[in-house]
Amino acid sequence: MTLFQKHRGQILFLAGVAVALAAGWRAFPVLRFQRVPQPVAFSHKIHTDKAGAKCEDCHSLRDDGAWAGIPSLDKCAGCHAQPMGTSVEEKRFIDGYVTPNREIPWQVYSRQPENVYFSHAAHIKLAHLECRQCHGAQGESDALGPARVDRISGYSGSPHFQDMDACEDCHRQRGAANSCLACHK
Amino acid sequence: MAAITPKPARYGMAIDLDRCTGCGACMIACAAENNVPPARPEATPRTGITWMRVYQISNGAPFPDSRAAFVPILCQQCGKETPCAAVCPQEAVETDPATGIVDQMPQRCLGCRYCMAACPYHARYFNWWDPQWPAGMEKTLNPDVATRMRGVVEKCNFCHGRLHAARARAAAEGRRELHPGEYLPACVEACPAAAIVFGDLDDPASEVARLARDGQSFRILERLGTEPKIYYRTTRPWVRKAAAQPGPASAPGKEPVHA
Amino acid sequence: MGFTRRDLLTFTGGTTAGLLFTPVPWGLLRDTAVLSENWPGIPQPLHGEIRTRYTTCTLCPAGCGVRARCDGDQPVGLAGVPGHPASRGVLCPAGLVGHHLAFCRDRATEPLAHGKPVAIESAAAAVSAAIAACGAREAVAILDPRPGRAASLVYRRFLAELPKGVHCAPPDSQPNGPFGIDLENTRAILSFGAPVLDGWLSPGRVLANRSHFQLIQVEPAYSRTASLADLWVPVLPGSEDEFATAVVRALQGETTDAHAMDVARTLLRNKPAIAVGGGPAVARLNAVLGSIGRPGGFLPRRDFTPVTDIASVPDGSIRVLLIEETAGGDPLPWDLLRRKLVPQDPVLVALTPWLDGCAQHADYVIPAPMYLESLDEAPTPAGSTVAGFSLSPALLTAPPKLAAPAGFVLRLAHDSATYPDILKRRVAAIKKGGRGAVFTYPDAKSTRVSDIADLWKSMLGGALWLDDPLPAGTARGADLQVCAGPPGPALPPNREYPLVLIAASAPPPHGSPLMSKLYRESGLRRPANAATVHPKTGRDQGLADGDRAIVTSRAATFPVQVVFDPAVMPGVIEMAGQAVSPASIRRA
Repeated sequence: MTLFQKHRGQILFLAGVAVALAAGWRAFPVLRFQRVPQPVAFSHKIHTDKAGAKCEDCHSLRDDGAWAGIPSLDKCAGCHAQPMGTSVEEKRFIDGYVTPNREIPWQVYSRQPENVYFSHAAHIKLAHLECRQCHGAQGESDALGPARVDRISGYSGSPHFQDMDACEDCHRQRGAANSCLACHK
Repeated sequence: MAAITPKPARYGMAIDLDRCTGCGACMIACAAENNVPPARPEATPRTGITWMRVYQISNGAPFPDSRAAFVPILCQQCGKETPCAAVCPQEAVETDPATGIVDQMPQRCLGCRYCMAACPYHARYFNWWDPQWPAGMEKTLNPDVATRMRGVVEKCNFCHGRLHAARARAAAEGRRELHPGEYLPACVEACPAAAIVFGDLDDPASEVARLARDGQSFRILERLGTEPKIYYRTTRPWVRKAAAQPGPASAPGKEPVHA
Repeated sequence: MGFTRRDLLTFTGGTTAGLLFTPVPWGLLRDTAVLSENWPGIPQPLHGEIRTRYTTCTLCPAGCGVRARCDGDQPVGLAGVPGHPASRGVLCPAGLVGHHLAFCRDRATEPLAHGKPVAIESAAAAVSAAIAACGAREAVAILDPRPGRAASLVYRRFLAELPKGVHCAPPDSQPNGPFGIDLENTRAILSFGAPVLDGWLSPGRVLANRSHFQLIQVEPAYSRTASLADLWVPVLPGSEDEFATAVVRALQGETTDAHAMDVARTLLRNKPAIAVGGGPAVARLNAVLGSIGRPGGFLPRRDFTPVTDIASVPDGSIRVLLIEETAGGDPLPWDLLRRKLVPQDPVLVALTPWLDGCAQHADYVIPAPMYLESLDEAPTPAGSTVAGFSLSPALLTAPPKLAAPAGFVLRLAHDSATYPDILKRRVAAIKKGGRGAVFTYPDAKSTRVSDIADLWKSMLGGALWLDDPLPAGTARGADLQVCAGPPGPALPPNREYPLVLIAASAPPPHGSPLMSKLYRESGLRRPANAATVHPKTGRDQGLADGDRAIVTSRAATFPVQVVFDPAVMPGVIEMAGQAVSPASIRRA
């Protein structure tokens, strides 16, 4: 009898385990998320270098503490009513969005379910966190990466925003509020 | 590391039963603020959702000496051995140490309704059906409050959405502490008779702390020892006696008297 | 050596065991949990910029200020305006969810002629033709639910051009004529059926003053006001005037009626006292109490124009009747209106936001904008001792094809002005008059009219103009007009109709679906089909609590659900919205 025949059961079993481990650790994290590209190839770097923009110019807090979020089309159209450079992408953007006055359907990297409450005001003004601590070096990037969207739940797959772990860890370290309704609605 | 949260508060209410006229503005304001759906055609007083609910009680005298009083009942935010928190198998209920509010997490709830059985005040409500609003009316939903789905229990949480908004406003100004009056639940703001006073029971300067301590206030089912944070006030002895009965006795024919 | 089923099972067992050591099961569990907690079918709120806008509520004559929290342009929550002189920062349950009315079913959405959709121009042409075809003795009437507005002036001007135009109002639209009530200084209110604690004048103002006055409620029904009053005098239905006369005699020391003397004693001990509601005898009572023209009593306003009560219009005299209905949906007395129309081919035009009110009976339906959908006005707040005016700016976008009632009448008059133009003229007249002060909602400040540069802009931002009071001593006792009280039963109860049907307060015909919290999801308000009787009365009629029954009066028959309440007067049946009449009840 060959080795295989002698230990047929165990070998097949271990083969199964190996396949599962490979699939689970390698394939699943990739397959789990859909990579959805952004509709416009916006470059933060160009805007910070050439236009001298700072984060707050487009992403700011309102007086009542609400976060203005991703700027609406008016912000872009303020400068890009006419092409400011020579790129094809800019022309495509103006024709597709500025001219027909269509809001850009940006993908939100940190998209959370409706019941999640997050206050940028508390984290920026009271905890003095920097944008990059949660959002990464988005402001220095030349291209916006695709958004990772969970195929089943539809919410964010970015490591930082996938679940509560990162939030809870930081809150625990800093002694901040940890009750349910502090962060849920 | 030093806690970066503000000094813990213990929010409570003092409700003046001599001022309440039973208009129901608090019930409506609560439902509008918290995205509570309107009744399905099959809904009854037992299956409806009324986080704030006003009961009518009577002095028991027959015609023509009958007089009514109205008692608003909401989650009493039990401070000690909170019955609903003790029985929940999902830990979907906890008391927030920063505010004293008994937090209900509908998203964690699995709908066993054990908490509804445990609550001595019948202040918890179950979503028997998926919420439905008439076409277009979803636009009027309050963005500060999440909608729930069928199969979960919900209850008053002292308008937590308003607490978030008040904290955000304070944070934008660099403040951690809230000024008194900056955060008011919808029922408090809506009451036309100003019968509900809200504030921090632990703040000696607050109106509600003064009212709670002055000996005129009583709490419902105090003998159960749950230390509710809603105080009721009245100068009418029959109201005080009726409110101390097990369950506010409703006028006959309206709804069952809870034992 | 083929692969057997057993091999497959072993391999599968291996993969299953292996998966337990990977993120797969926990990830799938978490993802499906998140999906199930956020079920796609559940409506989600919008997320726009939060803004505060101001307007004035027009659902009832109280004229409360409204502070709207808006998500983008959509109001998501309404609240009162702190410091508002009439409403004192209060909104009633209906006002709190007024922004839901625009989404109610039963809305009139397009002009209809005999049930068929038409263009507004055709409808106007048809109505004009009907008006032109009126005979010499046939009247054209406009039923105005809130006389005293700028819109009312539009109606009066239009009707004045016609050979026989009648501007009229439903009964009880001007209950105290030119008089407002000085609630701040009143010490006793003797109410003959007025719902003092249940939607009277401006509720915020009444409740703010509640601790200052003794309330005596005289009415047969155990209303909410009666149940909360300091004294309830349950008189037999129809005998309110008799009791008022008895109180007058008691005040003059001429009677031994115990109830009347009780009431008189209270009134004498708590001065100044006023009597409200009720019939002609109440005017005499007020004269005896000395409440006309004195602090704590009835104080006259400027600029009052009496309007014809439709009840006093001759029967069968109206050929074309235009009825304006409010978004608040005050019920109209149909039998009365029908009697006033000519018997042959009358023309009924409904100027209404609703399809299920007078539109059901109308030949032409002109869909009016719903509350908050278009610029409107709120006249003098009910019970105010000075004239007032506020604008009700729109917070919502109106759907197309709607026409404001005053705008439609302007069209009939071939007037090129629009309703907003009329409102601008009204504000200009206030500015020109130079009297009074304007309370602006956003900052809760009061500024003299003469100090405001752009009054129209101020009013559009949410404001209430209040006139200066008339000098003291302007009023005369005979000036106080009181509405006719409820009619007594047509026949006294007899064997066929042994009980008396009396009105309990009715649920409003239209409202936000959230009103179900009061009417269906709790026992706080009785449903519209409840017939409440004293337990002894019910048992005498062979009924039990909760039975289905039929109530029969001379006019109609109603299926009801019986409710026993020992607080209710024996011998009466309390039902929502019914006129007083003899009736009988039997098990269904």
